[in-house]
Amino acid sequence: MLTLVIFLPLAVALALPGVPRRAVPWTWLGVSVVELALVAAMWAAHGTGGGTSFETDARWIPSVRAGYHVGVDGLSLPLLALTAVLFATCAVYSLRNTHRVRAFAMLFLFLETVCLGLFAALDLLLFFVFFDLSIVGMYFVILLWGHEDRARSALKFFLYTFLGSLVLLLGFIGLYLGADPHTFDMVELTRTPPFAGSPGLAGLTLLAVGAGLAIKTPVVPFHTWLPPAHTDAPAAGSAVLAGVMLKMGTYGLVRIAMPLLPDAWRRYALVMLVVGLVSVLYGAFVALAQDNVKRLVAYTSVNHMGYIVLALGAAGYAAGDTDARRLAVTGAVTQMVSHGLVTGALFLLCGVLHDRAGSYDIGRFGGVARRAPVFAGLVAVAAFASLGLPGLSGFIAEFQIFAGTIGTGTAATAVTGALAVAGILVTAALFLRVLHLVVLGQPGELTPRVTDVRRPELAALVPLLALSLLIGVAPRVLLDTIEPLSAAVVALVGR
Amino acid sequence: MNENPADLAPELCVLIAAVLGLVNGLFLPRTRQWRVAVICAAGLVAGLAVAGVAATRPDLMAFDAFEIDPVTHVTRIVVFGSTLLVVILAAGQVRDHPRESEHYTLILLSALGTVALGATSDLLVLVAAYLLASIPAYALAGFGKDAPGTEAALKYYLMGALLGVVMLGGVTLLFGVGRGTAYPMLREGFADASPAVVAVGVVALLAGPLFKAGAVPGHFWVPDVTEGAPPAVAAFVTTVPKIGAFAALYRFGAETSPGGWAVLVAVIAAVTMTLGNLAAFGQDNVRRLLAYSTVSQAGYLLVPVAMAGRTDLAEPAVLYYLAAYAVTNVGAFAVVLAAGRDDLAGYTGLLRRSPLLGLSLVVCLLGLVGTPPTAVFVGKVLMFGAALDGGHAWLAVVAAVNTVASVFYYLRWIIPLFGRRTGRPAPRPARGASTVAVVAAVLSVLLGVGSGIALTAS
Amino acid sequence: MSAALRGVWGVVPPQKAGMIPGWGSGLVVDELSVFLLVTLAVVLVAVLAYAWADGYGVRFHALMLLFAAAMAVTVTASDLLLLLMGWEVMGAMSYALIGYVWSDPERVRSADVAFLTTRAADMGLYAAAGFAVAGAHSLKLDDLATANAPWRDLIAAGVVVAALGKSAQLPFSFWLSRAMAGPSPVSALLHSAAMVVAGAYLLLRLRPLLDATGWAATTVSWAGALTALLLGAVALAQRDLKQLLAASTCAQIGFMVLAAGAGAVDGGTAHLIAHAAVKSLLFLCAGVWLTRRGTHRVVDVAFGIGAVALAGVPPLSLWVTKDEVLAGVGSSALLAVGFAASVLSAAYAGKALLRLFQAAERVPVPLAQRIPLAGLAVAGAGLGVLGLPGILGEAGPVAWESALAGAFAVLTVGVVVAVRRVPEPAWALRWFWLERAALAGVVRPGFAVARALARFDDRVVDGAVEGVARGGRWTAGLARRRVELRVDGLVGAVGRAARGLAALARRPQTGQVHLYFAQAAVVLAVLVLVAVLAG
Repeated sequence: MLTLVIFLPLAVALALPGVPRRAVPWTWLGVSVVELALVAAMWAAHGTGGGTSFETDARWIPSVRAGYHVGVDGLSLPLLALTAVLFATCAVYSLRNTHRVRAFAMLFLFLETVCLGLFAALDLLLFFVFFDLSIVGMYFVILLWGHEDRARSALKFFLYTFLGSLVLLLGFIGLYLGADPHTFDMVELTRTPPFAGSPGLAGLTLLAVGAGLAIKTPVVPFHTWLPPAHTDAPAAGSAVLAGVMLKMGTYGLVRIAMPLLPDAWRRYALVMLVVGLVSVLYGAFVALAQDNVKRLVAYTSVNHMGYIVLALGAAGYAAGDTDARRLAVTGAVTQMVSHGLVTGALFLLCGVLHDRAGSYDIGRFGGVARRAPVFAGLVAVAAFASLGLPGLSGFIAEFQIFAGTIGTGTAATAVTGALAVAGILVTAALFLRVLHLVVLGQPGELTPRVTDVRRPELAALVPLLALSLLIGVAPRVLLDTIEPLSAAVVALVGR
Repeated sequence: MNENPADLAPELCVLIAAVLGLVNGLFLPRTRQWRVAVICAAGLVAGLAVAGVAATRPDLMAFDAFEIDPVTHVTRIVVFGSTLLVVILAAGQVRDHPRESEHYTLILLSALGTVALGATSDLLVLVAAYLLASIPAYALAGFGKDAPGTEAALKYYLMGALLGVVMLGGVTLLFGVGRGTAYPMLREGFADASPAVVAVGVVALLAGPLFKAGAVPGHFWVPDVTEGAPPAVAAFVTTVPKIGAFAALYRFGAETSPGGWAVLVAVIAAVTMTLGNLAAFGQDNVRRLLAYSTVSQAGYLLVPVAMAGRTDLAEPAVLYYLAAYAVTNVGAFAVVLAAGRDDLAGYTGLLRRSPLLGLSLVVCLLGLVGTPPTAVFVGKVLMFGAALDGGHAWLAVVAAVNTVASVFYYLRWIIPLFGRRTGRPAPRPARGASTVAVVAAVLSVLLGVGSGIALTAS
Repeated sequence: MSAALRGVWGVVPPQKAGMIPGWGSGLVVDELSVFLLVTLAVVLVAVLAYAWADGYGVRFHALMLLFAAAMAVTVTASDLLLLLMGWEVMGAMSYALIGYVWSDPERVRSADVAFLTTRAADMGLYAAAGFAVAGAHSLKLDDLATANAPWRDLIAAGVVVAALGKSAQLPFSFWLSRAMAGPSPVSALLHSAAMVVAGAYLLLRLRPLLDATGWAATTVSWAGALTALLLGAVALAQRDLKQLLAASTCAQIGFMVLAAGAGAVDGGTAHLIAHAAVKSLLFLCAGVWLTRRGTHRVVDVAFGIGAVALAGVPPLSLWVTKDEVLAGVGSSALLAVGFAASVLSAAYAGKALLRLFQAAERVPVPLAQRIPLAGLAVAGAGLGVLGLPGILGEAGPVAWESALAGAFAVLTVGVVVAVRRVPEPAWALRWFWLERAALAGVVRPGFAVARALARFDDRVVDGAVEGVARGGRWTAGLARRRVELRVDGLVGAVGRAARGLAALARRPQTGQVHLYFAQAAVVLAVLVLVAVLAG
C-alpha cells in the first residue's frame, strides 16, 4: 500500500507522454487527489497509536545492509499528508498553465514520489536517494519554469544543497560504519545507536549529518541559497520547495540525528538552541528589510524553521522536564506542517501577484484590496497565519515550541526560548508592513494590473488556509497523531 | 601448478574472435567487412557468457600468474561488456573503411591486454599486458590518419613509452628487492627491504598503470587523445584500459601492501580528481570536457584503491565503481557520437529533437555526478565508505567537494539540452550510437537500482 | 462575592479534552467571568444596534462578532493557552477594526501601531506560558501561584507586562490614542468596554499570583495609580473628544489595575463593569456627533449622564465603584495618588461636559441608536448598586471618604464648567511623547538593525558563498592554463633538459609533449618523496 502510494505518481509520470495534451492537467490533478485519498486512508488506518504502520522491508543492497525499508508513523503521516495536499494544490493551481505542461506535470509527479518516499524511508541510503533526487527535480523546475535570473539561482541551489547532501552522505556512511554490525537500516540503528563508546566520532558524525540537514532546512548561516531560489522559481515550485522540501531537513533531524545519535545530540543541544535562536531572529530581521515580497517570505521561512531547530535543541536537554520536551517536539512537528500549509499559500499568492503585474516589489503596489478583494482577504489570512495568530495553525505550533522550550526549565532553554519569543513581534511587524504596502492604503503604480484570484487559484488557496484554520481551532486531530512519536523521540534522546 | 587452458576460456573466446576477424578481413570485400564486426561481437558475447559461468566457480590461480578471483571476473565482464558497446559504436563509424576489420581486431586485442592487466599477479606479466593493452590503442588513436588524430596518437605513444620505460625500471628495482616478480614474494620482500628503495620502485611501477588509468601524472594524453582520436576510439581508450589499470593497481596494493601505499595513492587520488575537475570547468568542447571528467573519475576510483587492504569495502567499491563508470562513460560518448557535435552549443534543444537521446545524456551526466539511483551513486557511496572506514576521512571530504564542483560543468552541458534550437536543423542522430546511448543509460540506472544483485554476485 | 450570586451562577467544569494533549484546558464560567460575559453581551448588543443603524457592512459585523467571541474566550479561559488565543485574536480584530477604512494610510498606520504595541506586550504572556510549564508544570491559571521560586516571579513579570500593554497602562498607553482612528462603535466596544479591560481582568483574576510574589502586587498598584494620575492629566489636556475619552479610559483602567494590585478585587470588578457602560455610552454619543454633524436631545442627555458619572458625582455608578477601589488601598501614598487621580477624572469629565454647551444643529437620530444610548445611560447611572455591600462586595466604601470624594467631584466639575479653560501643556497634549519615544527607541533601531542585517546577509554571508564559487572558477582557470599551455619555472627548467625528446615530434603542436614529460617526471619525483615520507 505504502509502496503504491509512493510510486503511483512516478508511474503516472512515465505514462504521461501517452496522454493527450488536453488531458494532462486533469490526469495530474486526478492522481494527486487519489494520492491524497490514499494518504488519508493510511492516516485513518494508523490512527493515533504509536509504532510504525504499513512497514515494508525488502532487500536492496544486502552486502551493505541497505534495504528498501519504508513505513509510516506519527512523524511521517502528517508530512506525507502535507506533501499530498501541497502537490494536489499545485496541480489545481497549475490548471491554467500553458508552458510545457506535460513536462511540468511529469516533473511534479516525479517530485511527489521523491518527497513521499523520503518521508516514508526507514533506511538511510533510501532516504538519501530521495533527498538527492529532490534537489535534481527542483533544479529543473527552477531552471525551466523560473523567471529572471533563473539559471544562476538554480545553479546556486543545486550546488549548495548538493554540497549539503554529500556532507549528509558522509554522515550517513559514518553512521553505517559506526554501527555494529554495519547497517543503513534506521530501525536497527535506533535500537542500538552507533558509536556507543566513542563520543568524538559520534560528534563528528553529528556534525556531518547536522550540517547536511542544516543546509537543507536552512538555518543561518547556510540559508543564502534560499532567497534567490524562491525568487526565481515558479509559484508552484516555490510552494513545494518551501512547503515540503525544507521539511526534509528538520524531518531528518527528528528521524535520524536525534534517535541515532542521542549522546551527541544531548552534548551539543546548546549549539542547536543557539543556531535555532539565531535563525529565528536573523531570519525575521532580514525579512523585515526586504522589498521583494518573495524574498521576504523566503526569509520568514528561515525564521519559522529556526523555531523548529530551537525546539529540537531543547528536547536534547535530558535534565529538563520530560513533558515539556515532548511539548517542544510536538510543537516542532506541528510547525513543519503549519509552515508547509501557510508558506505554500503565501508563495502561491506571490505567484498570483507576479502573474498579474510581473513584479514582486512591494513598493510598487498598494490598495490592492479595492481591485482584488478576495485576493486581499486571502493575503491577510495567510499573513496572520504566518505571524502566528491563534485560531490558525502557526500559533498552535509556536505556542508549543515556546512553552516546551522555556518549560524544559534549564537556564539555557529558558533564556533562548524567551529571546526567541521576540521573533513573533518582528514577524508581526513585517507582515503588517506587507499588508500596509501592498493590500491597504492608496493604489500604487502596478495596482491597476492586479485582478482578483481566478477559480483554480482560489481552489488551490482555500484548502490550504482552511486546513491551517482546522489545525488552529481543533489541533487534536494532528497532535494526537504526533504525540506518541514525540514521546518516543524524547525517550530515545534521553537514553 | 595449474596449467589448464580452460581456465582462460573467456580470453580465448575473444582471442579466437580477433584472429578469425583478422583472417576473415583479409578475404572479404570492403563492403562486406561488417561481418568482422559480427564475429568480434559474437566473440565478446561468448567471452561474457563464459566469464559469467566462470564467476560461479571457486577462485583459483592459472599459470602461476593469472588469478581467477572476483576482481578478474568483474574485470572480464566489464571489459568485454564495454568493449561490446564500443564495437557497436565503432561499427557505425568505420563502416566501409579500408581497414575496418583491423579496427575491430585492434580493439579486441587491446581489451585482452586489459583483462590480463587486471588479472595478473606477476610483475612481468603485468608489463606484457601493459604493452598488449597499449600498442593497439596507439594505432587506434591514429586510425583516422588526420592531423589531430596523428598528433593524438603520437602524444599517446610518447607518454606511454616514457611511462612504460619508467615502469620497467620499477619492475627491475622491485625484482631486486623482492627477489621475485610474483606478488606473494614481493610482499615478503617488502617487509625487510629499505623503505626508500621500495618507495622508488613502487612509484616507478605505478607510472604504467597510472598512464593507462589516465591519472596524474599519466593523464596528459587524455584530453588530446579524446579530442583528436575518432570518437569511438576515444570512448574506448577512456573506458576500457582504465578498468584493467585500476584492477591491477588494486590487486598490487591489496596483495603486496607496500609501506605508505594508502597515503601515496590517496595523494594521487586527491590531486587527480581536483585537477580533472578544475580543468573541466571552462571547456566548451564536450569531448575535452568528458576527457577531464574521466580524469576526475579516475581520481575517485583511486580512493578505494588507496584503501586496498584497509577495509572490506575497498574491493566492492573499486569493482562496482569500475562497472558503473564504464557503462556511464560509454553512454556519454555514445551520445557524442550520435549527435555528431563537439561544441556545447551544438546540443541546444537536443531534448526536443530526440527526447530519448537527450534523456540518456541527462541520465549519464547526472550519473557521472553521482546522482541516485544511477550506478555511479552506489559506487560513490562505497567509495566514501571505503575512505571513511580506511581512516582517510579527509580524502572523503576532498572527494565530496570535488563532486560538488563537478556538478558545475556537467550542468553546463545539460542546460542547453532544454533550450530552443535556433538556426539550421541539425542532422538526425545516428541510429546505432543512439541505441547504445539509451542502452547504457538504462543499464546505468538498472545497475544502480539493482545494485544489490550486482554486488552480491561479485 | 455574594453567596447569592454564586448560587445562581455556579461554575461550569472545564472540558476534559483540552487543546494540547496532556495539558488540559477549558472554559470556566465563574463569579468573575460571568459579570464580564454579561457586560460584554450587553455592550455588544448596544453597539451592534447602533452600528446597524449606521449601515456598517458584513466585514464590520463579522469582525465585531469574532472579537466578541475572542473576548468571551479570554474571560472564561481557565488556562494560559486558551487565554492567549482569545487575547491575541482580540488584538488582531482590533487591528482590523481600527484600520476599517483601509484606504486611508494614516488609519492603517494607527492600526499597525496599536497591534504591534499590544503584541510587543503579549510576548510576556508567551514567555509566561513557558515559565508556567517550567515552574508549575501546568498552564492552569489557578496553578500559577504555586510555581517554584524563580519561575513564579518570571510568570508574574510576563503576565504583568502583557496586562499593562493590553490595558494601555503606562508606558504602553499611546496605542489607545492611535486606536481612536477606528469607527466610534469600535471604540465603544473594543477600546472602552471590552478589549482594553482584559488586562485589568487578567490581573484581577491572577490576584493570588501577584500576592505570592509580593513585588508584583506593589508594581501593579503603582502602575495603575500612576496611569490613573498621569493619563488623567493627559485627558484633561486633550482638545479632541475621542482623544479625551481614550486617555480617560487609560486613567479609569488605572483604577482597576490599582484595585488588582491592592487586592480590592470586588471593587475593581465593579468599577470595570460600571466603567464599561459609561464609556461605551460616551463613545457612542461622540460617534453620533462625528458622523451626523449635529446632535439630538437624547444624545445630549445621555452624554451628560455619562460625563457626570465619569466625573464620580454621587450618586452615580463610578462614584461608588471608584470609592470601593480606593477603600481597598492600604498604602497612604497610593491612596493620595489615587485621590488626586480621582479629582483629575472629575476635571476631564467636566471638560467633556463643555461639549454640550457648544451650539450644534439638531439632526434626527434613528430609534435604533437612541434606544441603546438610553439603555446605556440608565446602566451607567445605576450600576453603582454593584458596589453596595452584599451585591458584588461584602464591604462597602467608607462613608466619610465617599462623601468627601463626591464633594470634590462636584466641586471640580463645577469649577471646570464655570471656568471653561483648563491648562493644556504640550507634554500632556502629546501623551508624553510616548509614541515618539517608542518610535525612536524601538522601531527605528529595529529597522536599522534589519537593514544592516540584510546588507550583511547579502554582502558577507552570501558574499562568502559567492566568493568560494568565484575562487573555485578562478583556480579552474589557473589549472587549465597550467595543464594545457604553460608551466612554471621549475617545471620549465626540467622541461628544457628533456627537450631532446621533443625532436621526435614532427609537428609543431607536439612541442608540448616535452612539457608533459617534464611534468610527469616532476610529479613522479614528488610522489617518490611522498611514498618515502609515508612509508
